Amino acid sequence: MDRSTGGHDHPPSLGSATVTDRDELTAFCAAQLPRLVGLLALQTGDRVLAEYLAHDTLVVVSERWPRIRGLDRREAYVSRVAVNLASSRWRRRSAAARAAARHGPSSLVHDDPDGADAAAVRAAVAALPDRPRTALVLRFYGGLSAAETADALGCPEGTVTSLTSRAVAALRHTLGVDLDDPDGDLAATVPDARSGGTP
Amino acid sequence: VTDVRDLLTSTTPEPAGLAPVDLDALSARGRRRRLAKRAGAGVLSLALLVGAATVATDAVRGPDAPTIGEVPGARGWVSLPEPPLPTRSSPQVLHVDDGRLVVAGGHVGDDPEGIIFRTDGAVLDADRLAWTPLPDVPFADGSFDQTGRIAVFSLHGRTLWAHAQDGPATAPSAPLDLGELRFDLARLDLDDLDAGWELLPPPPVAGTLQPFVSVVDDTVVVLEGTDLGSAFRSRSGLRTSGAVWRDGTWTTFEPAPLPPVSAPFVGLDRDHLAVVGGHGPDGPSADAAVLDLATATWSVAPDLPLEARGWLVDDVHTLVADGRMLVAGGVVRPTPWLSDVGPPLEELVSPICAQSSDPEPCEVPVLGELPSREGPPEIASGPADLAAGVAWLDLDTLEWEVVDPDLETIHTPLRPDHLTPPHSLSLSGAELLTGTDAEDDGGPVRVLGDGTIVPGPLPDAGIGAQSLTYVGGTPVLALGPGPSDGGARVAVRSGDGWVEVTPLSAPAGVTYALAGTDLVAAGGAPAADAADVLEVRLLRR
Repeated sequence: MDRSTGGHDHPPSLGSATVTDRDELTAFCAAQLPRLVGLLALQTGDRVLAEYLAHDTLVVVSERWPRIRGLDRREAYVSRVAVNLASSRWRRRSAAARAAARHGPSSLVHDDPDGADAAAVRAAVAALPDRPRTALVLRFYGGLSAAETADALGCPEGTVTSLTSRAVAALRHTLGVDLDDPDGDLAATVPDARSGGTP
Repeated sequence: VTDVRDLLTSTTPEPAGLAPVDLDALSARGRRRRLAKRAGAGVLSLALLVGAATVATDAVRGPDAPTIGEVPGARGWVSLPEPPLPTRSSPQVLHVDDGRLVVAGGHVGDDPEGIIFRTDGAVLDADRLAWTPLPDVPFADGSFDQTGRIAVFSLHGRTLWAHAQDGPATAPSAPLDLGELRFDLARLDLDDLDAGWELLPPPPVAGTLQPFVSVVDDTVVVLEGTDLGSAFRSRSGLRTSGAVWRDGTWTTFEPAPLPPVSAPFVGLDRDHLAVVGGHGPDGPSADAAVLDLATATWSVAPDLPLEARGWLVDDVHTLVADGRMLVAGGVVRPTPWLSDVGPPLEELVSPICAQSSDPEPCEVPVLGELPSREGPPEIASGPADLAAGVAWLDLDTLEWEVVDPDLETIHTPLRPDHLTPPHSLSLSGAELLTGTDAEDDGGPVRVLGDGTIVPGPLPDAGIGAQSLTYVGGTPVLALGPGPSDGGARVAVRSGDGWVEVTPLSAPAGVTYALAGTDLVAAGGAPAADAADVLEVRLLRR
């Protein structure tokens, strides 16, 4: 390939990072990886894809580390990056499904070593519409506050409460279990849930 | 009462035992990601490859097919009448040589029971712009289950073919009784819809899962699938043995006289079946063999004169045109994340669920429990190594012609993107053109063949090109939805620039096809809060 016309192989963004930067970044990424895989497995319903996307997220983290390291809530930022990446791929899922139509069910349905209950929960989460699912995962798995979730979704906090309530209600219905909805309870007890970030 | 947090964290715990984070690997991955973005490495399914190959073949053969409708002066999408079918994503769109348009198959992907694949369809009369439902195909809608009960349609002349595999319903984790699998293959004469579908005698591929079917004219080739327990859901068991349907009878053929591999390139024309490359126990293969369909005998061809390679899935039906098979793209070293790249057939078949009559419980392997592969060191994380170079194999003389040994083929390597074939493969006249797609920062689109490097059309981040086709020699890019969650976007090359036409309403799941010189877009997953319709639109040029 003619690199003079098409190549833009920038040096790794870590090239200017100090040894201390690298150590801190490595430690941060190592701590985030399992959390991201879990979060993305829930978000996408696909454990293998989750690992792939988690690494993609860490690529972004490494490239934006000078900015991220100064954040108060790095985890929230990283979670937001992760679900955005997942969302982008999610939109392409139908194309993958069409390919699977040719190849057989390999990409969207995976063996689940965690058992039927876990599979049922993930399937129920995966069946949620995009935004309620993202709100649910960020709020109740990723540990983001309502304000952070709202920021990630680009919506008011009240909308987050509504989305998570819808998601929990759908899970109740699908799974046939009585689920506690922390945001729903909050909304019921706090007159103006939009006035501040819920923990 | 269960706390929803507890439910989620207990059923999806943070995994242990992940590979250590390697910053250098992440940096390398970042470079690859940028490179992939420059190539517009969005998801392009194999169905699109087959479609592109069909289009390309047609371009070589130069049919002057009639176009649909008359929309003089139109510069945007024109809505065709809505087909009398339920809505769906990714329908198959097939253009008949008399101008008719067939929309069939596709799936409904948001059903809580899983993805339901449609088996119905309709044909559009080009003159009256009226749809006629196709007769009921002799197999039913199916869920996205382990049997692969999926209807796949293909058009050859004016004969529409459909095939699907069915079996008894079992729990997703349970082994499947391979002896009870049924494989249906049917054809429909589009000039005599009243005659209905003709169900062919069952091909002699009983006891294998997800065989590979390819049709050229009246010849059908079926490669046997895996006989692994279906819960493994692997595609690594495709065999090179199978059967040919010709003149009303099935003739079986033996496996290619090559070491067994998974994920080879497979090409078919009227007289030949060719198998090239694949992944074997010692790594990627450069082996090649061609089956003479008339005599059911194999000939071993010289090795691929490029770096050995295979795909990441089996039954990749690559382009064959004018008696030559194209080898472009592929991977030279797959990542171990991909189970279906794993060990070749012989390593997996015998111990696990191979015999449906086995009274002992099947032991079904799961991800992470596969036998380790021998061969070159595997990549601990990150994408597969991609192969460079483009070559043609002459199926009669068994001679190779290397077009460009250095051309880098770029595609997103991992599941589900690993299904992606080389992007933008197309032909213009008799000249090979391979183009990569757009870069999200407006970088180059590479078009090989005429040496053209043209800039990408859209600067928005987050938009990946899904396909690049050529309509009358003009590149047409189908793009993903924009960041605003709008509909899918399409750009057409015009002069030195690109013209983006009106976005579609569906953000994804749209099928793009060529009908003569027109671009057809059909189906799609509806955007949030949008009406649930099955749109078929036409971009007349």
